[in-house]
Amino acid sequence: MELCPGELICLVGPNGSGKSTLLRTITGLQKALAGEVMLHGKPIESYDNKALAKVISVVLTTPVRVGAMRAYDLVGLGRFPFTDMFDQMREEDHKVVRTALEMAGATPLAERFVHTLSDGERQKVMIARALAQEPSLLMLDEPTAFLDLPGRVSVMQLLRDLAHGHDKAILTSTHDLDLAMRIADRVWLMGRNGEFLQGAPEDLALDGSFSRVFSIGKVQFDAYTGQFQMNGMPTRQVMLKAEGLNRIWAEKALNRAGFSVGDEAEIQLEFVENTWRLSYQHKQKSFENIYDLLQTLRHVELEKAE
Amino acid sequence: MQKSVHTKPVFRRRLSAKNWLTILLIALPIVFLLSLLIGSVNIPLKSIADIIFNPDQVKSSWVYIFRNYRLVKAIAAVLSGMALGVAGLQMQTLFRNPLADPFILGINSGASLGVALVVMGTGVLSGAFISGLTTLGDISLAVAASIGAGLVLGLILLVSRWVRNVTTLLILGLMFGYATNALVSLLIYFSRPDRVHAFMIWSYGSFGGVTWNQLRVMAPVILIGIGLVMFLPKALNVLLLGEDYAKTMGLNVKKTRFLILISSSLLAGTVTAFAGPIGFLGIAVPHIARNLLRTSDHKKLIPATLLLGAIVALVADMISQLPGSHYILPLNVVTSIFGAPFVIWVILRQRRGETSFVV
Repeated sequence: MELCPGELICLVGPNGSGKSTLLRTITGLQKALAGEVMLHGKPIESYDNKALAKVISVVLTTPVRVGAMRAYDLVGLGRFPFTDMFDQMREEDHKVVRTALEMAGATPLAERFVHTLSDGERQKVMIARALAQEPSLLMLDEPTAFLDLPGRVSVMQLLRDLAHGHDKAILTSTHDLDLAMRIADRVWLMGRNGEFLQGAPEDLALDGSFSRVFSIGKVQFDAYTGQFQMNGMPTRQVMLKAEGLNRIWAEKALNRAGFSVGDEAEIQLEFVENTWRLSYQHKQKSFENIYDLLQTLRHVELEKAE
Repeated sequence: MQKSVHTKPVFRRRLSAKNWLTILLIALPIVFLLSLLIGSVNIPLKSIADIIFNPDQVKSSWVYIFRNYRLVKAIAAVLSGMALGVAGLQMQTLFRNPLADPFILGINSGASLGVALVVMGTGVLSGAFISGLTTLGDISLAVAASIGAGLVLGLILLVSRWVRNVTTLLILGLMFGYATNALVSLLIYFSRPDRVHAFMIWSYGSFGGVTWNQLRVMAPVILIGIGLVMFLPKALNVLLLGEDYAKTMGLNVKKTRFLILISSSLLAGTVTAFAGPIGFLGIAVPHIARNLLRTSDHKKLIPATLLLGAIVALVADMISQLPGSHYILPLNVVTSIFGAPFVIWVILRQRRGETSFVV
């Protein structure tokens, strides 16, 4: 495995595949179980804590809970390896802190108390703190775990910008496979039985690695959509006559209800005059919206089962 | 909730941390002077100068009380308050728990065991304990208390490497406390009544029992303990984020833990040896400091807890003198009566996330 500057690597894998262990080993928090971590050509053990802190900085998965501390001061803690014993911040240190806040998009948060920040805001401040260590390598353990969807996207985008715009090597573990595939330059994929694969997200999708590592029981990775599908339900076919957006969303709805779209099918669904028209065994019914449509479709399925 | 936090400064303009430190610095000598005036014998303020500079012109009993009782007591209170306050601050940051202090974590119990062994185990010292110990006796008392404190603290730190959950850790600390207290009870059970009595008096807590001779041991040890803390503000600041973060930021966590362990046991152990197990000061003082200064920065919190600790200890001592009466309450009674509601308030405040830690 290799980490290069200017690259965002997403570390993915099911629970228990050892993502956190790998990160903790690379950051020197724990000793390697096997193998060796080399940093700028030297083994990681040859660095003392302070020297290591100037190369690698970390955002851990457990949320930091401190009160009575302003975001600016929290980011300032990142200057630890650079300040003297009595922790006097020089003008140079303040400048780095301001730059770090700016880079992480956290400048407006600087004067806020940490305990008043939302999860997403706090994560940005923690990333700024990591940047204040001026590392060439930034490692994050599930930085998006506690965030809502927009928060997750914005953190990942931030990481990509940092990698590309500021030439940092960034390694982040994530459970958000969908987001990882859209944003990572490279994916490190870990399986449960010590399997390790890497490549562009698309490479891993094409060679079936994702499907192999992530398919558990009824949940399957669909290489066509790059998403997880609920498999194992009796799949029946529906013939769909609709165009554009309506077609895309109707197909999603059908999939969700356990139907797939096919050319020759007993059940027909057509979008005409802003209504959904369902035909089945010479019976026809019209629906205003997809919700009502699905209610009936499920009913049809039941009848069939009987 | 967020809104109330933001609108607060509009209604209540807060003093800066620096201003608070200045206020505390001015308040300490005033409280110190006040504590010299209060006691069962009324010594007027204007005679103080005479007592110090012209002892022949005032009542000799006043000079005696002032020199050998009140002054020693006030100095002991200042040293103990500083020691307990700053030891509590270190404990709270190290364990990242608002309720951690030498007392709750059983460190004082360890010190008690050390003292009990010295007082009740060796007849020679116990006789001296009532009449005032020899310097050697004082040192052995301080050493025994510090070792007892250090053992319990070391045990807790050892366990804390496997037990990450702070609540579990606190409960373990309580259990260690019970276990050592049981040993102390056992010692009491098999001891001679006069030794037991000496120990009981000690366990009520008092600055008044400290002698000049004991102060000669107490002061340097506490000053060494405080001196150690002076090297730690930077380390304590990063420890606020937890040991993992501290390590990735370049802190030598093992060394720092060891330094905190040494200084805390020296501080809490010595105070406990001479003034008895004084509760609640260690919890309350750091919280008052954080709330006044609105900061978690140990560069400011350490001086603030030192000053506040001294002030609170002096005030608690003054209250225990019950001014105007001839009674003196045990110091522990005073600190507990005021301390217990304070700790309840701290726990309730946790919910609002305004203090440094969340349980």
